[in-house]
Amino acid sequence: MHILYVEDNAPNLRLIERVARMGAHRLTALMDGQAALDFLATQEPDLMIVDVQLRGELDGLTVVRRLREQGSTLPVIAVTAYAMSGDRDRCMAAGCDAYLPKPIPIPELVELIKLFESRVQK
Amino acid sequence: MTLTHTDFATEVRSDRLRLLARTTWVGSTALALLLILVSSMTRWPILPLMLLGAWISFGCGGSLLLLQASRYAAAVWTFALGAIIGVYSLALSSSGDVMRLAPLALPLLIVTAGLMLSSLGTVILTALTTILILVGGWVMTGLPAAGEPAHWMAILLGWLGAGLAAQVSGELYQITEWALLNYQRERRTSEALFDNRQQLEKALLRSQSLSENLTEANIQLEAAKNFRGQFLANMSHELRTPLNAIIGFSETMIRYPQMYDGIPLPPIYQQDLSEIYNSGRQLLNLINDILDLSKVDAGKLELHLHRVSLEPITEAVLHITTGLLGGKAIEMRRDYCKPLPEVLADDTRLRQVLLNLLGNAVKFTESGSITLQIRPEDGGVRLSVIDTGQGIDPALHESIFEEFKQVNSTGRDPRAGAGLGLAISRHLVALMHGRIWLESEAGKGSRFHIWLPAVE
Repeated sequence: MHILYVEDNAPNLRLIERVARMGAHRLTALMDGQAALDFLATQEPDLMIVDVQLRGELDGLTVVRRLREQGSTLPVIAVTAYAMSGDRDRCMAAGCDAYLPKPIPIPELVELIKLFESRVQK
Repeated sequence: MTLTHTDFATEVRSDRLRLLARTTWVGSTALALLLILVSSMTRWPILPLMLLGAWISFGCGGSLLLLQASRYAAAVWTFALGAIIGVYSLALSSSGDVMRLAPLALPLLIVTAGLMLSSLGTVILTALTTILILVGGWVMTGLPAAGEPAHWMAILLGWLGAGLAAQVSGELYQITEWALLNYQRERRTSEALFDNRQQLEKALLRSQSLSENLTEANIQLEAAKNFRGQFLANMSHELRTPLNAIIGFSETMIRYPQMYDGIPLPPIYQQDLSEIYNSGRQLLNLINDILDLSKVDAGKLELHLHRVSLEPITEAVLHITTGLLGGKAIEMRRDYCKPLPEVLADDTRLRQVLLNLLGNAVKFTESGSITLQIRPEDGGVRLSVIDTGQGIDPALHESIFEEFKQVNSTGRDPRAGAGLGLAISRHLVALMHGRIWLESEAGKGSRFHIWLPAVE
C-alpha cells in the first residue's frame, strides 16, 4: 500500500517510517500542505496520514477539504497535538476518516492502517 | 457671625424706629403747617406750635441720623426727648386749656419710646417726664403739683404706659429670643444636613472609583486567565510533539520488533525502555491533567451527561489497573450489587475518575487487596475503591482534593505524583452532579467513594 504522510517534524516522520516498514508499505513523506496537494494532483496513494498543524499557509484540514471538494475519496487519518475537545469533530467535519491524538498510540495506528489496507484490497 | 437675641431685637426695633421717625416727621410737619394755616385765620398764637414742630422735627431728624450711624439707644432718646421737649415747650409757651392738657400727650410718647427702650431706660424716661410735668406745673402755677388734675393724670398714665411698654417689650424680647433660637437650631440642622450630604457625595464618588477599579481589576484578571489558558494550550501542544517521539519510539521498540527487521531487543534494554515509555506516559498524563484543570478554571470543561452502563467502564478500568500492579501481591476484587444500575454521567470522564482512584490505590498499596465496590445509595449509585494500603490521616481528608496538595510525611509518598488527579476527579464528579469523599486512617487503608445520580 502506498501511504502519503504529511508532517513537518523529522522524528515523527521517522516513527511513521518504522510503522510503514512493518507492514511493508511504501511511504511518501511531504513537509507542507501545498506540496501534498501538488503531489495528489498527479499521484494516487492508498492512504493519507496528515498532521493538522502544518507549517505554511495550508493546514492539514484545509488540505482535506480541498481534496473532498475535488471529489477525492482518498482515506485520511488526521493527527493532532492539540488535545482539545472538539478536535475529533472538527477533523471529521473536514472529511477525515479517522482521528488520532498526539502522542500517536502506535497500536491504534497499526490497527487503522490494517483496516484501510483491507478496504483497498476489496 | 453669631447673632444674639439682643442684636436681633435691636435690629427689629431700629427698623420700627426708622419708620416711626419718618412718619412722625412727615406727620408733624404736615400738622404744623395745617395749624399755622388755621391759626393765621383764627389768630391763635403761632410760636408754641412752631416750637412744637421744631422740637419734634429736630428729634426725628437726629434720630434718623443716629440710626444711620447704628447708634440705636441714642436715636431712641433723641426721638423721645425731641417729642417730650416739644410738648413741654408747647405747654410752657401756651396758656389755658392747652397748657393744662398738653402733658396728657406725654404718656403716649412714653409708651411709644418705652417699646423701643430697655426697662431701665423706660423708667428713667418716665421719671424725667414726671419731673418735667411737676417742674412745668410749678413754673406755670407757682405751686408744687399745683393741684392740676390733668397733670397728675398725665403722670399716672405715664407710669402705666411705662409698665405696659416694659411688659410688651419683654414679650418682644422673649419672642425674638425664641425666634432666634429656632433660627439657630434650624441653621445648625441645615448645616449638619449639608455636611452629611457632602459626606454622602464623597462616599459615592469613592465607591464609584472603587467599583471602577474593581471592574478594571476584573478585566485584567480575565485577561490573565485567558492568557494563562492560551499559554497552557500552546505549552501542551509543544510538549506533545517531542513526547510523540519518546513514547512512540519506546513503544515500537518494545512491542514491534518487526519494525526493526525482526531483530528482537535484548532483554537488558527492554526494562530501561519500559521506564522511558512509562515516564513518557506519566508526563503525558500530567500534561492532560494540567490542561483539564485549566479548562475547569476557565469554566470551559464541558461534559456530555447521558445514560451510562457501568459494567463496560468498570471492566475496562480494572483491566488497565491489573496491568499496573507490576508483580505486587495485590488481589483485585469486584464487589457489585446485581443488577448493576445505570448512572447519569460522562462515560469518558467517569472512566478517568475511576482510573485515577484505582491507579492511586495501586500506587500506595504494597500488598493485600483493592476492591471496587458498587452499591445503590440515596437515589443514586456509590462506587468505592477500597484498598489495604498505608491510609491517610483524617486531618488531611479535605486538602487532599486540592490542587498540588498531595499528602506527605504522615501518608502517601509525595514523589509518586503531582497530586492533580484527585483535584480533577473532584471537579469532574461535581460536574456530573455527584460528590467524592474519603474514609481513612493512617495505616488502615483508604476508602474513596464517589456518588453519582441514577438515571430516572
